[in-house]
Amino acid sequence: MLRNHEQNSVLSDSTRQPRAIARTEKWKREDFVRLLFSFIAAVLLLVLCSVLAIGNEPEDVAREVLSGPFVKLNERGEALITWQSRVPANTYLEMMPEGGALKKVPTTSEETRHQTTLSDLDLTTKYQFQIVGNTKDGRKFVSELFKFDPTLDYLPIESPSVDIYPQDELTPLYAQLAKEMVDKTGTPKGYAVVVGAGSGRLLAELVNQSQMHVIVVEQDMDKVQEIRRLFDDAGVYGCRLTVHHQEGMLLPFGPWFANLITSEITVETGTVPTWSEEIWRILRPAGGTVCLGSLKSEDNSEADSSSSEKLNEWFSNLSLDEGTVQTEGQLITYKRNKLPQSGEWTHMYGHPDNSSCSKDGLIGGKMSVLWWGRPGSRPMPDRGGRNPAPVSANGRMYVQGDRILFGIDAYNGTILWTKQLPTMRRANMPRDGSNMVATDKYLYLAVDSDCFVFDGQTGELVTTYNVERTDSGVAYNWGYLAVTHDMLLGTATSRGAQYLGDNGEWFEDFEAASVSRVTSDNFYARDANTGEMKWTYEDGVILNSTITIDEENVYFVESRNPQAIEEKENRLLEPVQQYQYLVALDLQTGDIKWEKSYDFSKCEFMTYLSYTNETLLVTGSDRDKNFHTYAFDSRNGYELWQHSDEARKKHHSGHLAHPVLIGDKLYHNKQTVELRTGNVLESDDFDWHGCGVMTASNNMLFRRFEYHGMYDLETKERSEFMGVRSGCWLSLIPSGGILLAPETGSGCFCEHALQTSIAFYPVNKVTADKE
Amino acid sequence: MRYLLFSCGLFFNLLTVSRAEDWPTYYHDYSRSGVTTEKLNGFLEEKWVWKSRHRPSPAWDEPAKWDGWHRVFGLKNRQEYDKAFHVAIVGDVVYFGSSVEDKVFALNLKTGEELWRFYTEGPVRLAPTVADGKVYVGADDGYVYCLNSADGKLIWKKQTGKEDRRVPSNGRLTSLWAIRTGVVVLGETAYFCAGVFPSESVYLCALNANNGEEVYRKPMTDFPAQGYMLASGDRLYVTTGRHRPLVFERSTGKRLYQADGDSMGSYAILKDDQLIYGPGITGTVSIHSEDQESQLASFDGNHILVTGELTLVHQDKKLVAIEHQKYVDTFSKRTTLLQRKKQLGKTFKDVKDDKLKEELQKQIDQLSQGIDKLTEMLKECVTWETDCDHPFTLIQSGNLIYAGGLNEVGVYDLKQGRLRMILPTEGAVYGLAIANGRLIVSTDRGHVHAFGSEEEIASSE
Repeated sequence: MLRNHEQNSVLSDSTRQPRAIARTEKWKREDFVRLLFSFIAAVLLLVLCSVLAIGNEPEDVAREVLSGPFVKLNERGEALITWQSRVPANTYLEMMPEGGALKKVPTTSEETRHQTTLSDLDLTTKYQFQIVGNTKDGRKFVSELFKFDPTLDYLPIESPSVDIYPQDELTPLYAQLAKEMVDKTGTPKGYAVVVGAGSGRLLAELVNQSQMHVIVVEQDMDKVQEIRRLFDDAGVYGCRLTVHHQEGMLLPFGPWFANLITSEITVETGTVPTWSEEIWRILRPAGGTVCLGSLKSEDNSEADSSSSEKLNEWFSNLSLDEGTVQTEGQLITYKRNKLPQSGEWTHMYGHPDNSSCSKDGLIGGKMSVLWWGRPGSRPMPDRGGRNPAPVSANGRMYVQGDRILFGIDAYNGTILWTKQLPTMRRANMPRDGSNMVATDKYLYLAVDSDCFVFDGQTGELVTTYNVERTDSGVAYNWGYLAVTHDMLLGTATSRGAQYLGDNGEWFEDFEAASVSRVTSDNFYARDANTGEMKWTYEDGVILNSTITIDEENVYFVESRNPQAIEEKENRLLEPVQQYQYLVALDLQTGDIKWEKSYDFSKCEFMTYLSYTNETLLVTGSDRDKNFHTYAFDSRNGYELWQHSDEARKKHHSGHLAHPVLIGDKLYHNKQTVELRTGNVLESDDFDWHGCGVMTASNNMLFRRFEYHGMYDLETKERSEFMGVRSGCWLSLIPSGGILLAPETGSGCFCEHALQTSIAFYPVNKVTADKE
Repeated sequence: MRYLLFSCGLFFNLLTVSRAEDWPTYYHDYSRSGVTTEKLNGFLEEKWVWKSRHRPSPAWDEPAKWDGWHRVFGLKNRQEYDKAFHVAIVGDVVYFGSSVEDKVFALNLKTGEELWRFYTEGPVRLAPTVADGKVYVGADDGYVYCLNSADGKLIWKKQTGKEDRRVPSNGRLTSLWAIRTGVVVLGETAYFCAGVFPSESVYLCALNANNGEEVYRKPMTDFPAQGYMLASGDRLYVTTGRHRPLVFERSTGKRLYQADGDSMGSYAILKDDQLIYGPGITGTVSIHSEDQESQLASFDGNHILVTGELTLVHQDKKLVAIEHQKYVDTFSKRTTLLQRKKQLGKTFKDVKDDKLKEELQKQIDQLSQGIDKLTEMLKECVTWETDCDHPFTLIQSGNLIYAGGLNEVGVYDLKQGRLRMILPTEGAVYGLAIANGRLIVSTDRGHVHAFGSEEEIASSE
């Protein structure tokens, strides 16, 4: 009867059999095969859908498509937000104050560049926003929620235009002259010193056409009072212009700070400026400009010629070895070069060689305050996270705050620009590499999968490079970053591997969450000028903290452990401590010059690699806090010596110390060691308070004692700058002939009386301060 | 009847005038008490407002967002003394300096009309002191100035640093020996500190107040001097920015000691021989007495007003009135017990003998009970407490408390802490002063508001 029920699809109710009875019927072979086939097809379909779904979630598409964003505060309460898409896209922004509701904001787009301006921001709260859109090929994206703080503006003071002089035939001449002076200086920000006031008209134009603070130096008290009253009435006295009544020959100013020096009385009468020696002393190195000349006059060419002669003669007294004189029209300029013998701190540990030495030969002896001020503690990340070091080149310093970046004039502390980058954050430098490099013109910054190139002076984005990926299908961030010999060098590190240090971590103890290494799956080189890819290396898993570059080669420690290679995640510990190789690649071609299998697994806390004088040094400490040091000849990898010694300070990063290499010597673990032989030349039991690592110029060592500490290698004199604390990793950088110490003790409860960014200069290198 | 009322009104106003009092230095006196006996009658209205062209530019940045290692939020600004243009008032003139216009101003107290201005060569961050017809003020150019209070003419000026050297700082040129303590004038002597960085030397100076001649100049190389100097009969108290205050012998400049306590910062007041200072890391004010090795007591709060028997503790969201001496005594007793308990605890860890351990545990338990009892007694010292949305500063005038908030001043009664009046302003109120019929309010916008009684008879009448 059941069979009848099966054969006939329609039966009367009286004859329909219940389903339970149908289940007891035997399966036919065909039915089984049919069912099996259906099941397999379903599974395959499900897998296919899953594969298609991966990478197509809106958030994933956003990470793939979007670059940035950047938040720049234009004025108090107003922010310009910009971002890029890697493919043409329609995007918009949704924003809200913290705790509020998302609101759509109109956006301006040009193919792949997008921006919007937020106005009337409430300065008592932070803001969040997300970027939403569709690519032109129809993929939707929704970014993560980004944050910014509208109170971190660091904008120059708003001042009215000075409009106190009549409009006449001289008006355009003064305007043009001031414009040329500011243009020749190369920056509208910083300090302008005007020695000798005249009518005040040039002063007015300098105020109007720049953002500089104008300091007028004048001997005549009546003139002083007059200029003060005039510019006070104009609403700029104090905030934009001050007048110093000068008596005597020495100007009461520190050295090396003035971006522009001119003389209004010279411009108006042709007399040469007084205080010539002082002008040299206060002129900023690396681009400080003296501009003298006269207002164009067609009536009195003889007078002009005589004046020009006097000025040329005056200029010839300035050091022509240290600057360049140029005459253009009515204007004669002198532009000062970088200080001779000065070195720079362009990478995390000074240079790509990781020597922790800037090679600066100028800094030495007594140091005194060059400038001090913001940024203070508020914008900085917590001090404990072993944060990326500041870097400096060509008279500028760059400091990473907590998702905010500063470009600062290294010689006078002027904040040139800031931008907030909501995803810019790295920490735990002992186990990773930094994301920031300075060159003469640019700042390179790795954020997420991008390397941004910013104009060092203005902060404007010049170009963007994306990480070079492997074929593994892993989502990568830009890992290691260096710029040297016209090469832009990088690695690919899996997204999420880099430490953020947002939870007050200190990364001090031996635990996987602190000591696991950030690694990379490749190493690549681009032409830094054109962006053209030059070569890529891909073999083992590279330890980012070991990547070191000299004049010819790239060196690193990598693990060729299959287990490490198979890992998708680039934060590893045990797997990368096996099958280790020390590798040397040709910098220009990427070819392997030599490689050496070596066991560095005793370096458990961290693994460093440094180079100087044809010597490579691998250092690290084991979990019992003994240092292990290995020296190799960089030309061929031959082992020179190895050394193990108990860490002489086992807390507050004493056991994490990064070596300092100066010339043929190693300074490490309270010892001075001959680099080539490993012979201990000197031991020093000096102890210091608190965290941090040492840095060096050719003649001095710097580190945190209780406060900013300095040790003169020649005189053996130790000094400490009372009251101001250094950071918990690397924050004292000797660069450009000065010591730069941005505020990096943020959040510390230690009893230090002052918190400020500060810079020091060597007193005996400045003429008027010679003792 | 009308004549009677008029006479009462006149008498009332005469009473007001007869009780008029100057406010010749920051927060009224060198104890920085913020307390005046002058009373302002009835409801107040704004009489005039002076507006700076630019906001004040504080010398130091705001503190960190948090202490990540200890996971502590709400870190206090321990170097907060120049967010507004604080004033001094003598007679019918109000004096203040500007940190953005490099000037000292004198305005008519009643009308706000400018009487004179004096140019310095750097920001003037702290309020002047007015004494014997002279205005004393320090500036970031490294000079102390003595001006004629009537016309602002310079009487003398003095640079007391190692040298006259000004370096870039926050877009200005600032002397390494900037005057960041204000000036205290007692008798014939003006006292102040010159210097920012101890490693460049900071100097405690005493000059002849009439001619600026040096009486003494004592260098110190371990602490800065940041925040208003205080003075008692024979002592000078120097706040050191984010650290604890130093105490000196006034006649010689000899350093006597550094205050001990839980707190740190550039806020400080004096009550008799007790130095009260803060606000510490997250809002703690410590009391230190000269004859004590450690602090007498501490309060959870940012500011203190000591008025008669009461101490008013100003917290982020509350105003609390405490019986001062009873609190100090009880706190002191409790501290003694806590220290004893800590000592016994250490001993307990090292002891092996069970019987001795038991004995020690008994003692510790007894101490714990005593501590708990004293903790309860501390709470009983509270006379009243009230919600207060005006956390930035406070002063006392008669039986009223004036507290500075965001865009307003709150006026509370001293007896029960009830909010009596709200006075609207522009900006956060960091400065308050009462003198000669006026409440002067200084905000972080650079505004100086003047309030007076609604009942005030206009001079033309």
